Amino acid sequence: MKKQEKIEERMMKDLFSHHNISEPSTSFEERVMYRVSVERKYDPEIYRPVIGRNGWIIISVIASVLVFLSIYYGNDGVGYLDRLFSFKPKLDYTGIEIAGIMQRIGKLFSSTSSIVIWILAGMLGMTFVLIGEQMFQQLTLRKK
Amino acid sequence: MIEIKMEIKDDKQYIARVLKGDSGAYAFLVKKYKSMAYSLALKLVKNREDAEEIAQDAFVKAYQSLGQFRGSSRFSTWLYRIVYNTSISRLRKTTAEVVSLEDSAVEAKESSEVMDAYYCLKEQERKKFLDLALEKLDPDENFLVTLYYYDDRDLDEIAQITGMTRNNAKVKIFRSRQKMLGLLKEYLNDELTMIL
Repeated sequence: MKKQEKIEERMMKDLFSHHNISEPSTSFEERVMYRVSVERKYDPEIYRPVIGRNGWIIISVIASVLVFLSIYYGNDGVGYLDRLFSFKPKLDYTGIEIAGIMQRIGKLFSSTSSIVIWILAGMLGMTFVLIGEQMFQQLTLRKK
Repeated sequence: MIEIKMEIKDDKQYIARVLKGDSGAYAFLVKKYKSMAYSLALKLVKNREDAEEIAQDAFVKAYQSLGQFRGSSRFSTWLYRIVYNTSISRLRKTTAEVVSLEDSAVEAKESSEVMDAYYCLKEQERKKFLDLALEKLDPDENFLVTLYYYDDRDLDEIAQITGMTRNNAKVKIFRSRQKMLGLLKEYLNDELTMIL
C-alpha cells in the first residue's frame, strides 16, 4: 500500500471512530422473538436423517458387492459381459467355501477391466449416497 | 483476531442451543446484532420503518434457515448478507432510484492538505462531517464503508456479504474514500468561508 493511501486509511479509521450506528426501536427484540415463536414453520433443530451418511455408504457398498457377486459367481463359465446382456440375478450361495470366496474375490481385481468396473461401481455407490440423503432431507422437510 | 475467535465461539454456542430447541437462546444473537443489522438496512433503504422491517425479516429468515448455517463464516457475516439481499429486494420492489453523487475525488497533492486540515477539526466537528458525508454517499457506498471502516470487516467478508467480487468491493471502497475526501475538502472550504 502506498504511503499516501496508508495516511488516508488512518484518517478514515479515525473518522469512523466517531460514528454512532443507528438503533432500532426499543421493542425490536421483542417483536423479532414474537415472530420467531409464531412464524416458525419448522424447528431448525429438526433435520436428522434416519440413515446417516456412513449408513448410506455401507448400504451402497453391500449393494454393489451383491450385484457384482451375482454377476461374477456362477458355474456355467460365461463371462460377465455376456451376463450383463442376458442378466439373470443368481444368488445361490449353497456350497460356497470361505477359502473359495477369498480366491474368487481376489480374481475380481486381477484384470484392468474388473478394476474399471469396480471404480464405476464405487461412483455409482456414491451417487446413491447423495441421492438418498437428498431424498431423506426433502421428505423430512415435507413432513414438517 | 482473539475477539473474532471469541465472537465465533460464543455465537456457535448459542446457535447450538437454538438448534437443540431452545429458541430463547436466539434472543442473545438478536440483541447482539440488532443495531448493526438495522443500521446497515437503513443505509440502503434510507427509511426507518422499512429498515426496521427488513432487519426483523432478516432475523426471522436467519432463524428459519439456521439449520443450513454451516459455520464456515461468522454468523454476523451470514446475517448481514441476508440483510443486504432483503434490502436490495425491497429497493427493487419500490423501484427507488439511487441518485449517484458525482465523483469528487481529490488529487494526491490536495489530499495531504485536506488531511492536515482534518486533524485540526475538533471531535464534534469530525462527527458532524462524517454524518454529512455518509448522507451524501450512494447507499451501497455507505453500506460498504461502514462495514469496512466501522465494523472492521475485511474485503473477503464484504465480498461474501454483498455478493460482489473482492476486487469490485476494493475498488468501490477506494472510490468511496476518494469521494469522502472530496466532500471533506468542500466541508472545510465552507467552514473556512463561514469563519471569514
